[in-house]
Amino acid sequence: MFNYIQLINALLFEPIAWLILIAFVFLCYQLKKNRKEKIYLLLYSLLFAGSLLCVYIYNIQSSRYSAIIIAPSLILVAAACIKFRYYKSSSKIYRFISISMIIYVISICIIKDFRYNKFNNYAFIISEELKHSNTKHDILFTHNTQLYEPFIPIPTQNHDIDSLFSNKTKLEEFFQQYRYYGKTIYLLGKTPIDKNWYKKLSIPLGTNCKFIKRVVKNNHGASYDLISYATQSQPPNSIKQLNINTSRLSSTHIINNNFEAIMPPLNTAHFIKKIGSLGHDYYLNNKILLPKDWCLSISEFAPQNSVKIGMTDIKPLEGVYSLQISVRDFPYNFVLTNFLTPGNYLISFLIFGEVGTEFSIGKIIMDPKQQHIKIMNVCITQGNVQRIVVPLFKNADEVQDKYNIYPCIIISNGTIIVDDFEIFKMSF
Amino acid sequence: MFFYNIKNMLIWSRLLKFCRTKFIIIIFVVLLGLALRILCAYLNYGISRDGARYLKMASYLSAGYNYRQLCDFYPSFYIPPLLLLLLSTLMACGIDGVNAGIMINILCGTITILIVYFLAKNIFNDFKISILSAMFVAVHPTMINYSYEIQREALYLLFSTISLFFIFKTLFSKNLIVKLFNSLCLGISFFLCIISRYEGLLLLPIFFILLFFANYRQFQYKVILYTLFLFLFSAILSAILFCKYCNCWYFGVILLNKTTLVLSILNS
Repeated sequence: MFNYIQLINALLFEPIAWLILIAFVFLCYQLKKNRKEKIYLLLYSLLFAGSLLCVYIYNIQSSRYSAIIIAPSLILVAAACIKFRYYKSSSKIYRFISISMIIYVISICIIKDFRYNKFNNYAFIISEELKHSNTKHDILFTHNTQLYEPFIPIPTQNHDIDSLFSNKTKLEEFFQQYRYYGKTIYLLGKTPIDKNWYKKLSIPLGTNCKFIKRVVKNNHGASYDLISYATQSQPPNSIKQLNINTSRLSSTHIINNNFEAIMPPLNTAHFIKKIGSLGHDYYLNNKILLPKDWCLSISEFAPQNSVKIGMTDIKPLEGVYSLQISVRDFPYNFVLTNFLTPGNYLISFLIFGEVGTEFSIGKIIMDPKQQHIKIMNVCITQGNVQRIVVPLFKNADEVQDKYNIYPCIIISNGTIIVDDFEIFKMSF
Repeated sequence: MFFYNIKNMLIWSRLLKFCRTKFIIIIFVVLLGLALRILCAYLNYGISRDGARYLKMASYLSAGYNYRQLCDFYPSFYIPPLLLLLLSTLMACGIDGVNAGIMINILCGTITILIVYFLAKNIFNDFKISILSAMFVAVHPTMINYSYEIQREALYLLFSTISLFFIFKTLFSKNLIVKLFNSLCLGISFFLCIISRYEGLLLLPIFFILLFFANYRQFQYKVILYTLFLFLFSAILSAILFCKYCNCWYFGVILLNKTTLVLSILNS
């Protein structure tokens, strides 16, 4: 209850809120036979109770829900000031106090009116910077997208950029994830304590990060930083383009890596049940072709009929069959192969997808007790056949040998066709 | 006779002078409020997250979408449509969205000063109290803040103050016709208050309670029933007309949902 009263106190403007209370008590004390005044005091009490109720019902830390109380409160103060003046007409002290109160209220209100935020237009300044961006090839990531949406031509996406800016490792991981995003990403977040944070970043090869502007937000000096991150539109076509010494790569043998061997249809149900601990028995009754010796699993929370997975012989990327995954409106994790031992890997595969289909390459780290997913790269399909080569680097939490690592594809909406899946272990 | 006429003329001229002085003071207070609002809007030129959201919604409306489609775009954000409709109308006339929002709110904030004057005058019947109330409203920082931000509060405060004014007019009119006319006006202003903010619903139980307390000595069933009937009739009629001409039938569904939600919370 104290919180709610504090909210209303702030709404009525603290330096005069106490005066309102005194005015109410004074008017109640010297109530005369005037019915209108009695009813007004009753109305005020009801409004106050109602305002408290509004804040209580919505349970929101905003005083705007009680805004109706302001005007009646100010009428109350005005009435008390004038009535106090004539309380004892012979005494000058009452007159002096009354006039002092009026001057106090008016002057303190006017002083407050001019204590304004000089930098209130920061959203317009930021929007101005982004006004000339390319609608098709740029995107803004920030924590408060709604503020900029009406003023900028590019799409926006909610992201906790504040924590990224204050944590160098996280930001570099973010750069790694989005290096093949294919768009210029604008990042807008609060300036961290270290003002020169952007000078110490290491970014992936082939990408570019540029500091654009620092915009002050309020009189206390809080500010926002805007940077741009130009990602690569196409992933490298071969491992050599990654600038990695290929002599240190050793190919990990994967059975049926080109998806040409099909599992006998009779065994499909048995196979899917077998991987039930990782996935779900979706296709038990469907006549579906699955690749032999492959573990394909989807999230157990996935709603039925919103995903299709299986082999396709219509326009295969290589050979006779390719693996096709179609998803509608739900993010799925597809575990594509059997586990790898902890280490640094390169994954290479051919992919074709609908234009703009966004998918991530990640890894599921499974220890005996739990599993967690780590997204490594976010890619976007261009409507043509691409070879994606992405690194899966070792993390501190997977050094123990008992952990199993599963490379996975995460896709929320769209269709992709995958073929020629290869994995290389890096020996550095 | 001659001296009587002279005296009479002097009284009238004094009265006229006094009225003029009063009028000038009221105009001064209103203009002061307007000037402060414009100045603060100029100095604080900016926008909040909610304001930007309203602009986006209004731009959808001005692009030809209806209120139902708007609610589909923002499924967790059903706001009453009055501000959005006013914004979209001005935007359709070619006025920039931010300026349109500020214009609406400054105008509403300034009119509120005048309404507060009349409300205080009606209750206390004292020029000094009324003008001082108007003065306080003109300079109060929260009122000024609401008048230059693109938010719903300026509209809500305007129509809630008008509703309070008509509540007093309805309760204390001695002439039955005037009383009933005031209850009609109250219904309309109450509806406008609700389509500014849902919290306007608060005035409904308050009006019922006050109606009972103001009449408990000489309880006239018929008068109370007529008043209530006309109040509800005008509120519902204005709701139907508004929904019909502004294509906002879906607002009625949301309002019913909100009312049911509040009642269920109170019940629990």
